[in-house]
Amino acid sequence: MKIKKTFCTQKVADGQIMVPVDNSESSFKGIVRSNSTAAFVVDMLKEGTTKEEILQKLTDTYDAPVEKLESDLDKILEKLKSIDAIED
Amino acid sequence: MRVVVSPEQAVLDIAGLQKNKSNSYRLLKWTVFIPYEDGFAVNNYMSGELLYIGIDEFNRCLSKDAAVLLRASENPENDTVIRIDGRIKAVLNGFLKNLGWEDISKDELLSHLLKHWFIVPADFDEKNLVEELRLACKLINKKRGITSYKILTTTRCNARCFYCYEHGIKYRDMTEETAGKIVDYIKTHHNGRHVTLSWFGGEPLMRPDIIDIICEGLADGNIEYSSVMISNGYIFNDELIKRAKDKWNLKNIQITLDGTRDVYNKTKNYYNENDADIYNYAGKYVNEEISAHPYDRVIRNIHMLSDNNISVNIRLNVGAYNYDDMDKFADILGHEFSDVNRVTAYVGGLFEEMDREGDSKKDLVNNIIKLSDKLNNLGLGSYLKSGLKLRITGCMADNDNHVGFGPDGLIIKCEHFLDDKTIGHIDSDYTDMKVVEEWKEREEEGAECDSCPAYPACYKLKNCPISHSCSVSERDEIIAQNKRTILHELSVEKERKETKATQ
Repeated sequence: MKIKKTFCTQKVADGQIMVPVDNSESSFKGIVRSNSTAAFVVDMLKEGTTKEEILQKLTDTYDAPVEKLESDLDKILEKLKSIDAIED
Repeated sequence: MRVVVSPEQAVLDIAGLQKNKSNSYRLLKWTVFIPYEDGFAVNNYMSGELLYIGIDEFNRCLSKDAAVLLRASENPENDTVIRIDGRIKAVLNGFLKNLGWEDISKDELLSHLLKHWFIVPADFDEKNLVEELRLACKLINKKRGITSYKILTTTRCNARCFYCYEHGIKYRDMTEETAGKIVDYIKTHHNGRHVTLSWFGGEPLMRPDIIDIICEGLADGNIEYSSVMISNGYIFNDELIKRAKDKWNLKNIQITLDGTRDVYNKTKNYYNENDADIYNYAGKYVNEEISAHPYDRVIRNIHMLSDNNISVNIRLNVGAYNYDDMDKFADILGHEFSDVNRVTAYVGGLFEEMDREGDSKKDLVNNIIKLSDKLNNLGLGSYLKSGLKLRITGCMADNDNHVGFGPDGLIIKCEHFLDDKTIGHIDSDYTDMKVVEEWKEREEEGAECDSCPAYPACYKLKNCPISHSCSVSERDEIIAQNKRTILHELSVEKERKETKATQ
């Protein structure tokens, strides 16, 4: 899965913001604020990846139980899907 | 309450309707209250929304004492906009701090104010939101390609104004070959969108042939375009105005005037058309009897431009040398153009004098305020609606949708820098991203910024040669200018209503 090209990101002090840059291609209007973990996930999704690969990278990077990381990842992916920001 | 100007859709799309729940609220810092008729005009500088709220609507919510205080805080005749606004906000904030989400949601007026970002939680960080909105808008705009181009056809000028920042600049003319390459550049970068060309110089009309080449090239390539121009307006004649209208799609021109006939002629100090080779490419247009009278020629041209549906915004350049003359000149302008459609005027201080501090600067700002009020009363006011809403970039220099071209094909970000701080050349694909990023650096905020209601509408760049932190008097001048625009918007709304009622 991959972040759609119609979304653009920008680093900010405490994470990242993401916006749809082509309204005709996206029903979502607004701004997505990501903390550093969510920004990490979004950055991986720019290249195209799988949930398993992201989870592996998260466990390599963050000192947290894998169950907690997976639960966070699910929430992030769910949010991104709900605004139609991900394509397979 | 009624909405006089709707909020910017982009801001509403990005920020959404406000849903922040709290036990204590206050007004957004970036609002301004202007007493108007039996109530207030309230502008939100972040969203651009302008409301009219009757005082009775507030009084319904306020205690008796607070309602009396609110009325007393207006005192519109004898005080600055900022001080009146401060007093009104103090009364309303005293009331809002004791209200919670439930109280606000119950009331139609307060609920609108909350959803539309006029009211925020007491601990809200509006500066952070403004920065996020700017970032989001920049990201969206970046994908739109380069749609705005400032083109310097030449650095030569037929005038010799003593205050010009281009004084002593080397004369350079654009070649036909460079003009052709600019057409190709635009074709590659405009992303299928409408293009705005801004003709600049020197005096851009010294090279009408170059403007022709670029416009013909774009038309041949089926690229939609329109033009604006900064010019002294002297070279225009019948034939050129027809070309400007039909071929260049010129919609708007800024022409600088410096005072009454003698002051203008002395300040402009035009070359005679027989002088040297200054009019090489444009001489045929000025070889008329009237060219011996520059002032009359330019006034004639302003009439001819407006007759041809081209808007003219007259910039009155004011400095200590022409205060008295400008006052007389405003009356002459009123007599000449009050009833003419599409002619407006605004006042600008001479750059060098605006950079000074102290009493002379205060005098200058006071004169600008006085003269602006006079132009407004004469029906010539030029209203900058963009001054009432969120500003995304400082100017073309930090705008990713804009580039400029020097006469020699250098790609520039600022017309004040034709040799250095350029970002590339028309002959090369290389863009100096380090310089592009340097142009985006922001100026540090001044002492007045945090309390200035117009904060979102202001965006200053560190490397801008004419930018500086506001003094108190300068800030007051900007806010006074905004008040004129707000009142103008209300009168436009009134006219619209009256027209509708008679139909």
